[in-house]
Amino acid sequence: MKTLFIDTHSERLDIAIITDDKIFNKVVTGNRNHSEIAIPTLVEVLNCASLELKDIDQIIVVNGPGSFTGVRIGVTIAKTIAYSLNINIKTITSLEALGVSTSDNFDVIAIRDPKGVYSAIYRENSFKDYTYQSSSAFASFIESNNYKVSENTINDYIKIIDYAKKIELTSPHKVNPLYIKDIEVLK
Amino acid sequence: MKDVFILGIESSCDETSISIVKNGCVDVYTCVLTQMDTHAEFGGVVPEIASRMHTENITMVLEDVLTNSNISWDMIDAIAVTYAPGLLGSLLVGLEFAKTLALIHNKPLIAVNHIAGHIYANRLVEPIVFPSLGLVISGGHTELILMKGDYDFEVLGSTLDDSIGECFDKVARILGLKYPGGPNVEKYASMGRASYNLPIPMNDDSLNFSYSGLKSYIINLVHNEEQRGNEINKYDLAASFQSVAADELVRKTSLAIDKYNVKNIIVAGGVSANKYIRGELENLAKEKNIHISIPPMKYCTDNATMIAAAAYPLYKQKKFASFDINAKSQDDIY
Repeated sequence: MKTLFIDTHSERLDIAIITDDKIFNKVVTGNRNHSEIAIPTLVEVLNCASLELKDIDQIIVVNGPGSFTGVRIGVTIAKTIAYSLNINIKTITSLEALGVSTSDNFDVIAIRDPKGVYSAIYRENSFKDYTYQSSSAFASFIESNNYKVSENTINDYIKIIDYAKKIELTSPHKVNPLYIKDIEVLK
Repeated sequence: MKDVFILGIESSCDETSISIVKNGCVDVYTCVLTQMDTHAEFGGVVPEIASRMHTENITMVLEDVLTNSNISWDMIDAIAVTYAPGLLGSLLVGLEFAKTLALIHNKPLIAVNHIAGHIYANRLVEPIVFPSLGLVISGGHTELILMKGDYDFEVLGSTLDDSIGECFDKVARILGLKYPGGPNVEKYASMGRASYNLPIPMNDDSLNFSYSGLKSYIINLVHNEEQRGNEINKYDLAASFQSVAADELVRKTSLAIDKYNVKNIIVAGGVSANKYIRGELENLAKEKNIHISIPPMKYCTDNATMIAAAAYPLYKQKKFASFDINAKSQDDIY
């Protein structure tokens, strides 16, 4: 089983190919634009694995929440590959991916952006109540409920693949970002 | 010689479009999915909504093209995509999509400037004869360009402030007309008389344009009349505005024809869909006894056909883009 994992929801671009016995990956952090590095990074990882896209058995793409533009880049690449080569595709949210990856003990998984916090509550092995709120509103939400928070930022591919087993396949046309945060004109 | 098939992709504003063009001049099949109805609710294009809709729709647009064009991937020679200018978030969806297809199918990637696309839309009608004078009129551009060869552009003059398309949209808003403003101003103008006396935008001999003064004059006129309790005749004011705006295009184009002694003019960009402006430019060409090329309506608004057409000379010159190319909201064609 060869899995292609794509995560572009934050400044940290993460592309990996996971085979039965090996992991080939590249993580790029920093200021460069994802649109400049996403496909070159994918090519690099494919070359390292000595694989072509048609050899991939499944794609797992992080579909947000996070940077709107960042998520769209990963999602567009993933759905285009899945559609063109008829490869199984599953979406995993950024909060799920980071939540299942951490070994922290937590009630709430959180991702910060410059203006606020995306979060989900972890209960009975699933992630619920996705919200976006200001940092101060998030702080009082955590305090009043006495929740333990994890702000893990590192993906554990093996744990993610295992978690994705229970996620249903999606038609490539229906693979779309999860934004959570509404935009001004829609409020 | 072997036929060249280029798959073009356009997503710079609110149209998701994919097209296959043969030899830069034959539209084999084009799909244009417009988001106009969605944006009309907000009175204009909302960039974030446009980006979201491109992402949702782009693989379905491709499916339509692959299903209906009878062209298979092994026949396609290159993938062309608009990289600039336009809405950044929207451009990025098309660009990443194009790069991914180029990687999957091992095809060269060609980055096309949207304005060059509007110019090369004319190749879908007839060959472009050089030298030609290009008049680019759109929501973002009002330019006179001397074309000495493929991608050999010299800008002779451009707008110093608003583009003509922006001016149409703003006048539409002042008159309380719905989005899209340009076509609605044209509709009202067709039912009115040019009875308002409006200032000539830039009464000089340069090849530059200026439309902000005309716009401000109309805003003031409408406000003053409202304050006096007088009713504005929207039809007549639209007709007066359109007439002055078109006269200015004709006058500057005429100056450029004389100065550079060209025998061909090419009109390009969304505003060239305006029938009155088309008519006035055609009259000018007749009067000067020169050839004029204006693309049919469907190639005036945004479409991927023109992007694939504009990519053909770049394909011939082997000017391919690498996978690290980024989208740009602004970029020159020269």
